Amino acid sequence: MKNIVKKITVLAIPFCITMLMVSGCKEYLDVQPKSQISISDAFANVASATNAIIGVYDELMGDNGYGIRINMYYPYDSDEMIVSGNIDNGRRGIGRYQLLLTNTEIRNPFLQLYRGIEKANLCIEQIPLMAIYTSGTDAEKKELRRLYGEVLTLRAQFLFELLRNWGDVPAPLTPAYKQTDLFIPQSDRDQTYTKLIEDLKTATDLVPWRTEAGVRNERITKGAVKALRAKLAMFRGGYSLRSSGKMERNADYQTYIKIARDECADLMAKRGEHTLNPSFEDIWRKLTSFTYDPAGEIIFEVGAGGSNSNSDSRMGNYNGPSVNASSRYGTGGGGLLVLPNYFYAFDSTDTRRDVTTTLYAVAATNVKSPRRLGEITDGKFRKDWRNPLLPGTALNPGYNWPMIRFADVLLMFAEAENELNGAPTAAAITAFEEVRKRAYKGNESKIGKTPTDKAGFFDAIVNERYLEFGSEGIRKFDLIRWNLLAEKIAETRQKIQDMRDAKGAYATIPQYIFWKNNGEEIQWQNSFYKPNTVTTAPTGWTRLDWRQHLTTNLIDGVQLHAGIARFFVTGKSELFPYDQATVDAYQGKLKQNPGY
Amino acid sequence: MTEAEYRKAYTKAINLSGYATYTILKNLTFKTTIGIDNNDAQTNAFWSKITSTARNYAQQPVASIFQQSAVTINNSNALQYSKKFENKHDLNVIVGQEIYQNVSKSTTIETRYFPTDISAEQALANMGLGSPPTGAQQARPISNEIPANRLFSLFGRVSYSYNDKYLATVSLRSDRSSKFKYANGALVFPSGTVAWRFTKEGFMKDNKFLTDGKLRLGYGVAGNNRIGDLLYQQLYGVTGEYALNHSVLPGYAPIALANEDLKWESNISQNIGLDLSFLNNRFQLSVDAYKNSGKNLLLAVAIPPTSGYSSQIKNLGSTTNKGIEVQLNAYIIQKKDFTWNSNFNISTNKNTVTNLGTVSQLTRNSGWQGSDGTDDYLVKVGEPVGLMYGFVTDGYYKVDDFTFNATTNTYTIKPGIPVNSVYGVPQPGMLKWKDIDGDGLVTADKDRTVISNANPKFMGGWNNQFSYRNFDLSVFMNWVVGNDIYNANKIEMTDGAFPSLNMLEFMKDRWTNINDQGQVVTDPTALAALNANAKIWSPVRVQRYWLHSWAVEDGSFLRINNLTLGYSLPSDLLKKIKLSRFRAYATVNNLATLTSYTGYDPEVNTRRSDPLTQGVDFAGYPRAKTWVFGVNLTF
Repeated sequence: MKNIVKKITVLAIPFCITMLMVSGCKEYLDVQPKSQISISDAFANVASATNAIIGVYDELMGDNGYGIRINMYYPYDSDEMIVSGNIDNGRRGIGRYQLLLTNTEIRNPFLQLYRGIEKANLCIEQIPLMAIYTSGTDAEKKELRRLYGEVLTLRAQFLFELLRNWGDVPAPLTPAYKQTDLFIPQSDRDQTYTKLIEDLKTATDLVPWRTEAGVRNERITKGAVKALRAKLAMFRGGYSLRSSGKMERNADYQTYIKIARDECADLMAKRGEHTLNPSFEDIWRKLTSFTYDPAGEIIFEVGAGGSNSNSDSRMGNYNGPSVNASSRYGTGGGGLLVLPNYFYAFDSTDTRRDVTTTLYAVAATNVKSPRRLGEITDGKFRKDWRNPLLPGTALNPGYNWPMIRFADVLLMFAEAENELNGAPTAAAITAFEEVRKRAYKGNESKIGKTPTDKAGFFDAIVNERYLEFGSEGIRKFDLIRWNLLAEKIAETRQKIQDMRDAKGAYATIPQYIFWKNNGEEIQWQNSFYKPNTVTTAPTGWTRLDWRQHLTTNLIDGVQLHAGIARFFVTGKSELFPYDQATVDAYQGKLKQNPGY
Repeated sequence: MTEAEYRKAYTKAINLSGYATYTILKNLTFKTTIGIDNNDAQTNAFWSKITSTARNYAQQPVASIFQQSAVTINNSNALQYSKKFENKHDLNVIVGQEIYQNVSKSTTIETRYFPTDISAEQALANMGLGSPPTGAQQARPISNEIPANRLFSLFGRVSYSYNDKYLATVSLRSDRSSKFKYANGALVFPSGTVAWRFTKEGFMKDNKFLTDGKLRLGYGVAGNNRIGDLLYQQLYGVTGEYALNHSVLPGYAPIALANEDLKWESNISQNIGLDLSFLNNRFQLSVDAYKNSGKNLLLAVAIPPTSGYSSQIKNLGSTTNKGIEVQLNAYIIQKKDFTWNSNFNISTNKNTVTNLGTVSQLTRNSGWQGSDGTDDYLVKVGEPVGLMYGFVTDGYYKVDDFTFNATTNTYTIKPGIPVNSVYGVPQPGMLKWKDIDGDGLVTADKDRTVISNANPKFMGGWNNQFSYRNFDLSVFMNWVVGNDIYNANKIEMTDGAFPSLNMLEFMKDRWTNINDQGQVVTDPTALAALNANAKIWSPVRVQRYWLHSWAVEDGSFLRINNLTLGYSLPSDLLKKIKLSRFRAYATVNNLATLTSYTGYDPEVNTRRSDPLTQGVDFAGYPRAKTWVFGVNLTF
């Protein structure tokens, strides 16, 4: 008997443990995250919410954002620049408008922009729910409102990029884990633009001006919100390719042009926050030497750093003059080519010409050699301007991406005034000439007479934006909102042929240019603007094919004029297609863009 | 150069396990088992100044130390009751409970910008020695702690046999996993087998031919929860980064799109089997037919990326596997000086996707091409898993396919010849694919198709053991017939997609545009003559790898997997040297393989993380041929 009692006691111990386990089963299986952060912890205080916002900013930069793909691949081919090299299923497929649905350069940025929207949606949902948003200290409430305004602006930027490249995209405004159906339907782009323009109005009142924002950095300030709002309004009031295959703008466009005008006017009244840098070159010298411009001309810029494909940029490494990796500047350039007609669009006294275009390549010896007419490169983000120097083969020079400059605000204002008033107002002409005079610094008298009729002023704006914003990822989208892309591509093709044949306006372009090195620099013997009948190089000079180059230079086996934007078709090429994997994932519920 | 990239891994593992049993009453015992596994691993890595990793850090060396530790604990407690009644009824009952827990964490420290010529050992021993140039930053340390993965199970099993003639086992198990929301966390697994030894029946009594015969029926359910932890909750990780003032700050990023509805994947297996043994067990035959059905498969499913995520873990779809397995054992010769035993098995399996949720097909990416790869597998309802999806190879473009313009030195393709627009403008010598939709343009969107199937028709093995006097010999062969292998190495090593990429040997017979004098040949006659003996296209260099049918090969093989020859000393000799046994032997593993596959090893599967992309050979290691000589001694 005693034995049995003992046995039962012994048995009872594990049995009790087991019973405890069973009753504690629910607790045992209730596992908490360790390294991960729950939504409630992420939005518990200002510091943590700031980390969530930094996570949203993250989706702006990197190889799939404004580090290379969105800002260096998507805006080409245009009438200013093209992607170099023969066609492929990557960036050259984009440039030549031969867009296959398997082009990964199309897919990855699309994914990144939507990741940005999702991250923004989580913050937009959560920040107003934070206890301290309503009951915190004044400082906390102010900071949280700033964060909220920033994230509304970021979401608008992500969606804006999608809208202008893909048209009527799905526009989720709540986080995915709250969506009942992940097959988010496509929205009418005009409605989406209208919603974003409202959001930006809200944001304007929440974020501080640059000078009130404390330490200067790349975070969004009131100027950025207002300038972006003006830009979105200009696009809302412009043309775009509709699902019908037609280029159309909404009948209510003037309402939005008015919004753009008013935002620009507000900004122009705050010159202490943002104004023109007196020197066009200095904007880019400062950007390539990581120095903030005291004039604040760059109103909104995307921050780069970290030497990686996620948080850093490739400008200067991808584009700009070709720089040999063994030179003191380190590798860079060659990804974009300036079209010859763009080089010749500048007046020889326009300071923007030699900033925006580069006629040289740098060899391993640091000595410059000239580029022929069909292989000119761009120059705003050149590697050899980087200060400090970055020798070697590093991929990431670390340049910020300028999203909107004050010059853009002035020219949007001038354009909007002209549109609303039926002719340029005095204020419009002043704004226009302010940009132009800065460009002709030292030769201000040569800016010419500003047209005073609506059509003439509009053409002048079209031309001025062309000259001002080369390689800033603006031109192609401007041409689309004006419904001029097809026309300008055709015009460019004709101009390049005329140039090749020394016809019309280009009759004076020399066939050859003679040059020699003067130290590391290039010295030109004859003018780019005067005809030259000499075909053999004078002693001590080397001959360079100039106009001649256009007869021999081939891309994809055809001459430059035929090769640029080779597969462009109006009514199709103004938008990208949705990539194959996105189409597949949508299981037939996504309407492909026209022509694809 | 030898230590340009250095990697050393250390592991320390402590595995403890123990059990205790206690007999409470006659026939009733309690058993508890406990096991603790502690695994610590460290990987030291170093990249010298010449590596591509150093490239982005001013060509200065980079070193990293990765440490990981994982602790697994399991404990089970069970009561067992067994009793035999009337010498005929054999009853065995077990009830119990079990817990399992796995916790792991890892830390990575990476230091960049080491002094240029530092050695791997010096760098790893002085991780503080790297110093970034102005404007650059060190990597932040990373630590990651995974929430505990826990299981709680209850189980019971009843086994009963009557007179060794009727046998039955029924069990019920319930597993609850912390990976699922509590309401979805439990899975009940019933299983059972019944068997009938019909040779024990009266009507078989006089039979001399059949020694033993048994018919078996089985049914079972097994679960799978091999997914990440806490995927049912929306969580952030600290994986984002953004630079302010060119200095990188950490940012939060959602880890994955939560799926509240996640639950166990279940696999139901059903089988019927027959075991027969003849002539006093001299021949034994087993035949099994089975049907296994997987339901609620846990898969990363592509979702509309407009959600912010391109995939989500979901319970999606079902598959079935049906097959037959036959096994034959034979003691063919049993003489005093000579014996020969043989064991032969053969099996065939048919896999079918029976459901994919709301879609009828989806494509998958095997991923060997890196992040830029496109989908190269197709999963389709009604078809097996493992369909390779790509272009159909059609040789290469010849000079005759073009008209030549002598003025511009350009080749223009003749009308009617499909243009490979994936690779740009066709030129003589460029790889050519079939234009399946016949629109004159080969595009990735419209001209890819199912080109192959990774599933074998049948497979098997055959083992023979011989002994003659003191010698013994065994030979084991196995084979697989009818499967296809996606030889990705062939694509990578013929493509020239990136600079300095090696080429496979047969590329020496490739199309070329450069003659012996190093001059580019453009004249059509000369170009055709130069390439009269070309066997393969010239590298395409488009920085994108595409599967096309040329890279798919028959993976059938017959392998002599093992051959062992042994000799034992005769017993009278052994008595003198006071040994009870002395045997010397020689073994060869992987002696020979008969196959037409051109890669290293036809038994390859290098992209195993996704069960839907089987049969890829990418950077697979060759199978070693090993020789073993040995002596068995028994005192």
